[in-house]
Formats: sequence, structure tokens, C-alpha cells
Amino acid sequence: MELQPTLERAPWWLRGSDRLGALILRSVVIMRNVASFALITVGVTLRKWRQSREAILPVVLGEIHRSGIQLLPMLTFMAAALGLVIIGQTVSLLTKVGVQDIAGMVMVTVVVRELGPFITALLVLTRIGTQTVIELSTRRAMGEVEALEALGIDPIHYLVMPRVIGLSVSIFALTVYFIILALVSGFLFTMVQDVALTPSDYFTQIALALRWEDFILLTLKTFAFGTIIATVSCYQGLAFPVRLEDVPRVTTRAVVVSVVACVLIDAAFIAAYLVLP
Amino acid sequence: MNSTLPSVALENVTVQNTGRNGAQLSGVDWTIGGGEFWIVAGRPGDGKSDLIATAAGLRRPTEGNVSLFGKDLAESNEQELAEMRNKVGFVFENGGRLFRGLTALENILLPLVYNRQLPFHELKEVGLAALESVQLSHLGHRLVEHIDRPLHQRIALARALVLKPEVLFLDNPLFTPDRREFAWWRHWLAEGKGNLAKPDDNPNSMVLATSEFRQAHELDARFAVIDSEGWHLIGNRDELKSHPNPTARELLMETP
Repeated sequence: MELQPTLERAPWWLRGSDRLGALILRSVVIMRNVASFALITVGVTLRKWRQSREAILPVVLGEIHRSGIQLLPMLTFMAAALGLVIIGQTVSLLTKVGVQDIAGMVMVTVVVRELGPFITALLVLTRIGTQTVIELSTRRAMGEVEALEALGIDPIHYLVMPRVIGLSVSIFALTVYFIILALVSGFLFTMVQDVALTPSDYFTQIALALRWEDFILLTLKTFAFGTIIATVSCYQGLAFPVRLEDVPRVTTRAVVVSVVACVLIDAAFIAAYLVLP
Repeated sequence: MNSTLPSVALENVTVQNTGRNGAQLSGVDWTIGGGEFWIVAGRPGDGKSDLIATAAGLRRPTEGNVSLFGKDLAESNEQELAEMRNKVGFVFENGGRLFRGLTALENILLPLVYNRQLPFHELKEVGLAALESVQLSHLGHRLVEHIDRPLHQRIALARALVLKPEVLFLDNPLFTPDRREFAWWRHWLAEGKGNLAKPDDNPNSMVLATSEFRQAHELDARFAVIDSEGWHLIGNRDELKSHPNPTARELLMETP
């Protein structure tokens, strides 16, 4: 006679809690490994910041071109769509109910603090993060990482650090571009709807609603998003030997982990906004 | 370099064979002295690549000690390892593991630019000379994806030589379906062996891993064989001819 029931025979809630526990443990292990990888990257970045710039700088610029400039058309479309669909309608609605005076504050809270950085980060993650996972896992599978080591080149320094810097700079620049374009296109939509709000009133309200901490926190947040996306993508691409059939699973995991980490960081920034006077 | 000092020394080393699941090559005692040319022969999957990668300090042995230029790898820090790797050249098998997205010239100059911290344009002539030494200077500005695969290992050779390594490891360059490439490598190995004697010219020592033993056994070298029984040091060319090791004889197409 079995003294302990097997999990298959256990009630549904026990099986459910077992699965949940396994999921939480797996998530904790992944987060711990990514955090270790991030710390190694930070260590290498600090130690080798000025070293081999002739070799590293072209990779950083290439990454900025790939994750920044090449994404401009897509980002332009997204910003215009957000401006037309959400901002235009919001401003129009605020004007209808007679509270157009708070339009600037709403825009700063919604677009500058939240939607701008988050949508840009998601766009970069889906376009560049996934590409990075596939590229690095292929490089590892082809033995290029070992070849770098054989030539005395630190793979973290040459492959990871430029991606972290490049992606962070790109997300910051793209977010600024996204916010400006969304705010302008949103106002254009309100003009089409004959909303009684002059450009001068609209942009003055936004300027007055912006505080110095918005600039600092926006910079910190976008750099944090860039660092998270680059680190997670590089970790998933480089940490394990990946077979061809594993690539979709690893890529999906990179997206999920990045999104969760970005949401957590975003929550921390919301808390910071609330704490600030 | 003083040719009497061993460049690489392996003491009772065990190597995990990535070519065969779970198999290990154990009890390897091997010293590569200055000015020596070694040929390590074995069948595909016997662990030649794993052994020479371990000897080059690219992988850690499961057991035993590996020393490069008199320094134990296990006791070396990251900085020392990086310095040692600059004295060791390694040409990987099956295409040499060139970096995709870069031209042949950029592939060759990358280790120099990274390690010597000099700009690409200042080193262009050095890179072209390295490509010229493998007779591929006309391919310098072509992306490696657009270069015929059999030529890749030659570019990888130029990339390894540009750092002027004291020891050069070559992983199976003779294993190529291209007859012209095979002939080129055969000629280069014979010539390269001759250059080992020159005191001011690196590489000072050379190791060739090959599964094409019949094509390599006439080279003036020291021989070792890997088979399912393990690691066998054979000796020089004369000793090879009379050695009773069945795998060595089989590889030479002789009946044991």
C-alpha cells in the first residue's frame, strides 16, 4: 500500500499549487541567473570601460543604428497612431467636459511618464530583443564565442556591453522622439475636430505640467528598460548551448522575462513619482 | 622564446569528449616543447579537437594540470589567461569560426585592434599582408558570408598568425573536400614546419590535429594517436613506421 499519494491522484488544488510553486521557483532561478549575468556585465563595463575602444565603439554604433535608426519608421507610425487614437480623443473629451485646463497634466502623466517609455521599450524588445537572442544563440552554436576567447577577446566586453549601451541609448532617444511625435500628432487630431484649444495653450500646459524630476526619471527609466532588455536577451542567447529547435522557446522566454522585469521597474518608478512632492 | 622551455605541458589530464556522449580521454601526459611540430591523429569523434582546445587553454580539463609557458592555468587569473591566449594561435576546424557580418580583413584585424588597441585603418596594411601570406589578399573586403566555405580556414589561419603566436594549434585543416585547399594546406604545413627553426619568427611550435593521417604522416613531426583505448605518444616519423599501435597502423592503411 502506498503511504503517500502520487501527485496525479492528488486533488486539483494540490496539483495546481504544485504547478504554481514550480513556476515561482523557476522564475526565481531565472531572475537570479539574469541578475548574476547583469552584475558580471556591470563589472566588465566598469573595468574595461576605456579598454579596446577602437574595437568596441563600432559595435556600439552598429547597435544604435540597428535598434535606434532602423526602428524610426515603425516608431513614427506607432507614435502617430497613439497621438491620433488616444491623445486626440482624450483632449477632445476633456474639452467637451470643460476641463481642457488639465490636458497638459494628463498628457505628461500618460504619455511622458508611462506610455512613451513603455511602448518604445516593447517595440524595441519585440524587434531587437528577439533578434539579439537568435543572433547570439546562433553565434554560440557556431562556436564564435569560443573563437573570441581564443583570440583574447572577452565575449561579455565585445558582445554584451555594446548591446547594453546601444540599446539603452536607443530606447532613450526613441522615447523622446516618440513622446514629441505623439503629442504633436495628438494635437493635430484635435485641430481636425475643431476643439477649442490653441497650440499655444496646449503646449504651455504640457510645459507647465513637466517637472524637473520628469526629465531625470524618464532618463533613468529608459536606460533601465534598455539595460533589462539587452541583458535578458544576451543572457538567453549566450548562457546555454541552444539547439535550433530551442530557439523559439528561448526567444519567447526572453520576451516574457523582459516584460515582467520592465513592469516591475515601471512599478518602482511609479512609486518614485508618488513619493516625490 | 627559449626553445628548450616547454610551451605547453599537460599532466595526467582528463578531457571530456564533446564528440562522443560521456566519453572521456584520460591520462594524457604531453609536453610541447619550443620548436616542435606535433601531429595528433585519430578518427572523427575521438576527441582530438577537445584535447587541443584544452591544451590551448580554451577549455578546462576535467582532471589534471595544464601549463602554458610554465604557468599553471588553474592558478592563473583572467588577466594572465588573456595574456597567455595572445601567445597561442588556434585555427578551428570546419571553417575556422570566422565572425559573420565582418569582412575577411576585419576578421583578421579584430584581435589586433582589440588587444593592441590600435585603430583599424592603421593596421590595414598588416591585415592585407596577413591575407597575402595565405594567398587570399583579393578577398580582404568581402564579407565572410560571401567567401567560399573551403577558404574560411585559411582566413582563420591569417587571423591566428597576425597575433604572432608562439604556439599554433591547427584543427583538422586537411579534412577538406576541396583538392586545391588540401594541396595548399599540405604545402603550407611542410613550409611552416621549416619556419619553426627560425628563432625570431613565430609560431615557435605547432600542433596539427588530423583525421587524415595518411596525408600527414610524411611530414617531419612528432606523432601521437588518440583511439578508443586512449592517448598514445608515438614518437618521430621513424618510430611511427615501426610502432605497433594498431590504430596508428590502421590510420596509415597498414594491416596491424
